[in-house]
Amino acid sequence: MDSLTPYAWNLIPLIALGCNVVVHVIRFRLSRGTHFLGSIVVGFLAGFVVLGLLEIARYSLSGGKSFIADEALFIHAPAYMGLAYCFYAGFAQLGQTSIRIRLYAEIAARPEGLSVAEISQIYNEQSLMEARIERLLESGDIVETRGRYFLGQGRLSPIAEIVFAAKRLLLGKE
Amino acid sequence: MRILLTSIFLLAGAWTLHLIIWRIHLPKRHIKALLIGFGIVLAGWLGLAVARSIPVLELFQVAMLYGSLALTYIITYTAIESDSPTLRLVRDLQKAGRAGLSVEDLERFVAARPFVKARLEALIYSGLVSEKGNRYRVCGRPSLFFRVILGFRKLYGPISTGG
Repeated sequence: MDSLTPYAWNLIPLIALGCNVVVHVIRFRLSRGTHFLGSIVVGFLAGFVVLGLLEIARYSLSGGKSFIADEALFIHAPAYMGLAYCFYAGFAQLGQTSIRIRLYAEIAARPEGLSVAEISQIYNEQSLMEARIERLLESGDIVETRGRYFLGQGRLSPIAEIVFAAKRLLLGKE
Repeated sequence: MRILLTSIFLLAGAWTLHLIIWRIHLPKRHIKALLIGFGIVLAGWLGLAVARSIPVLELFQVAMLYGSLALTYIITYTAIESDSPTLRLVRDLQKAGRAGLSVEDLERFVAARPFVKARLEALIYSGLVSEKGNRYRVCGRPSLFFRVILGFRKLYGPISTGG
């Protein structure tokens, strides 16, 4: 049994991720689906607290061995952050904001199917884009002056630079 | 520290391999190819590590850290592979500079990117949705990943309508 203990301790990032997911879902449901990003942050922090507490417990139980602190800092903490990011960007956010998944869920919820007109009622192309532009204006990423649109000082500009540089490097095109 | 350095070294190797392959020939399914490529690098290292009698606990730790960081990259890569209308608009505004874009330019931009139609076509192409009598219905069985996401959405409670 003792030989299994080191492996069990290495499951700390997964346990922390589990706490992250549970706290995120509870927080999101308590807010009645209105604070998605807030619940992601709360879930991430809850997972980090659990990770910290378990690492402290492990350190204490080992009698203060220094390699435990190294593992916590250089293996478990980055592994947890990576897993938490994967959960957020590849799972939770995808389920929330991906139009393809939302559309599939809408169609699946109706055995008789959906017509083009019904889909257009739920997802209006024009209003979807207008909502995006409105968000960009509110965040300061774009600025409107006398009926013309310009690049603002928002956070998306450097992100776009990085993404399009990566596209050029990897895909050979923008 | 050795585990972290080994993982970073393996990630750098996998990324270099990914860059070389992508520059020679773009795979049809990027994410699947990335998962296979990053998986092969890990499997190769595990084979070498076992042959060199590296402790199993160390293999486990490297696999966990490397797996976590590799998935982080692969998920981030989806933003590079896909065409985000928001980032594309920011890019167009960057290029337009002081001249900016007019309302008509923006309308043309929107018309060139039919959000819902493109996603509906992707669902039909994937065999998940079919059209019959001007109605779209679910057909076929979605992938495991798709089913897990749909199942997870149910934990959130009632799904709000629209995009």
